[in-house]
Amino acid sequence: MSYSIHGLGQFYLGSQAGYANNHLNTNNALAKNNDGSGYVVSGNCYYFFKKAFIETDIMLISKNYTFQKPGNYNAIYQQYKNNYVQLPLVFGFHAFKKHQFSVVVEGGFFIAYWLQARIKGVLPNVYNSIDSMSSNGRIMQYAYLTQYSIKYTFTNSDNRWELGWIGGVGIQYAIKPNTILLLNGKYFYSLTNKQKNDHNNQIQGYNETGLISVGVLLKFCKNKKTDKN
Amino acid sequence: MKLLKKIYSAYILVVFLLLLNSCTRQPIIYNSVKPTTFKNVFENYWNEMKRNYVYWDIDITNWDDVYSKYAPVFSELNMNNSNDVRACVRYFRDITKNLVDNHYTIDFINSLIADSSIFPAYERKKNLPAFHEPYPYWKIDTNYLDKGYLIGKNTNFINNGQPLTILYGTIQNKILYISFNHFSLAESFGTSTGTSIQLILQAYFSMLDNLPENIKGLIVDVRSNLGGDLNDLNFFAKHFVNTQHLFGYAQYKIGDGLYSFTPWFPAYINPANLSKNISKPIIILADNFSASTAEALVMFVKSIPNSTFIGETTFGATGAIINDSSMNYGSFTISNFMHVQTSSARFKYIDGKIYENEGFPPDIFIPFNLTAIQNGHDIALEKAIDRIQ
Repeated sequence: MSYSIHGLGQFYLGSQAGYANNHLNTNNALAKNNDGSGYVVSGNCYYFFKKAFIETDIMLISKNYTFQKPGNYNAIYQQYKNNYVQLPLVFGFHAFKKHQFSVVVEGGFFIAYWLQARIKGVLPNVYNSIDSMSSNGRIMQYAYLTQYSIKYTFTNSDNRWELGWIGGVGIQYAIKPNTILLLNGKYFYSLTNKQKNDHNNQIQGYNETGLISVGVLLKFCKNKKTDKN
Repeated sequence: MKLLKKIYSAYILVVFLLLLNSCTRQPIIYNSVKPTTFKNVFENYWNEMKRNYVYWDIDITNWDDVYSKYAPVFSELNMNNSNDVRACVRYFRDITKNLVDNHYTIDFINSLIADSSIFPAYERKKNLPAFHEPYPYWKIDTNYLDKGYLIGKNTNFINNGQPLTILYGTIQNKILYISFNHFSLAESFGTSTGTSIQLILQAYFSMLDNLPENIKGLIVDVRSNLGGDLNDLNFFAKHFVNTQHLFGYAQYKIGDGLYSFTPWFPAYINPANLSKNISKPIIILADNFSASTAEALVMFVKSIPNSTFIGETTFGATGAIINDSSMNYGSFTISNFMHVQTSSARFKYIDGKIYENEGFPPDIFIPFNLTAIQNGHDIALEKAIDRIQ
């Protein structure tokens, strides 16, 4: 008995989970703009053709980033934790395929909705300070660093819908005729500003998110008889 | 299966049409580094205000209306026309006239209007019937002090044209008195010109840490004290408490959104090592030119039991000006054209109220009386002395 990675015209359903790394492309000149780590979980639907496939998912993905002060103030930061529900639509083809193993290249687009956000950070509370006298008789003053973590309240200026392009590569391995293991790397490039463009010169920011995920696909309907006796 | 295919097809169509409508990013637009037109100046200013200003939720100025009204006006102005350059001061004055941030000022860098400045809070106050300019009360208050009082000055620290001046002594050997006209106390320590300030403060702090039996009460006088270094607040007030003392809350701008704030952080005075709780009556004197850090000190003293505030309602500039780069929001500069001073944080007293633009009210109102002062009488100080006796 033998089986190939998939046959023609087959639906697979599955799920994936992984790591997401986000960069906010913006013009904040006052702080270092650090990428943010996060997670992705998704439910997946694949439709396979002979040498290609279409994939759509519903995914919960975090698009985090951190602004950190440079130099002497590097203990001061703001970490933005944003959760999106995202619907990608991906067209893929098998760049390399041998028996149960296949390397795929993917491209497509996505639509996302900014579900929820949180801002965590540290800043000096100038209303909570201490001082001491240095050896030269000068007074040195210090404000206590204070942590905060708040749920972000969306305003009319926030653009909660996001559209963009996707590129990716992946490995698919069919361990059974109806079961495929996945390892995917995808890059989501947003085309929409996080802020509405209601006036000129406003601060703008675009998410750029890379993810690595693993998962499994199971055939949705009964396989056609393809096995040889 | 057919249903799934239909859903798939519809989804592909919708997303594809949406993407066709916005298939490339708009370029990230930076505020012009050196604006060359009044349109640039106004739009940079308008955006920076939108990002930096901390009172949008309580301000009566509608910033979107400002854009609608003034964007066309500034677009018509010519940067190379001196009349237009001068006219813009009038427009900025009109735009800012009702802003509630009483620290708010605009200073112009453009050489044609470098002698112009805008201070909306002052311009509003000077039209009030009870308005008076800051007054150097120390010049007549020496008459009330016992022999041996001390005056210290540091001419390296000037505020509103006045060098830092401290007057310290006792009144009738029963009352410990101190006044100073701005907050650059800690900065004076260790400087060659600040020796007298340092000696006086050390003497005063030493007295506070070991109050003699004969002292029945204290008077702290910050009338016409325009504020200054906020760090001075703890530096001075830490000698009045022996445990961490809550006197209000501060809130900081942390995002570009109009209402993007931290939670309210507690505002504390942290005690000095040797300090004791001052249990004797404390009277704080302030007037309508007691501003900023001076108002914070008034509110701190008022949060101590057995304290009384005598004088006039304070200036109402209760937020914090933080000019170092630890904050992302607050004062800003439109390159080559103007500098805007505005608060990076706002403050509310322990009663939960923000006194910005309103001022902190006295327990006992004693209005400024120039005639009495010219006759050598400081009525507010006399009231404070009577109250302690």
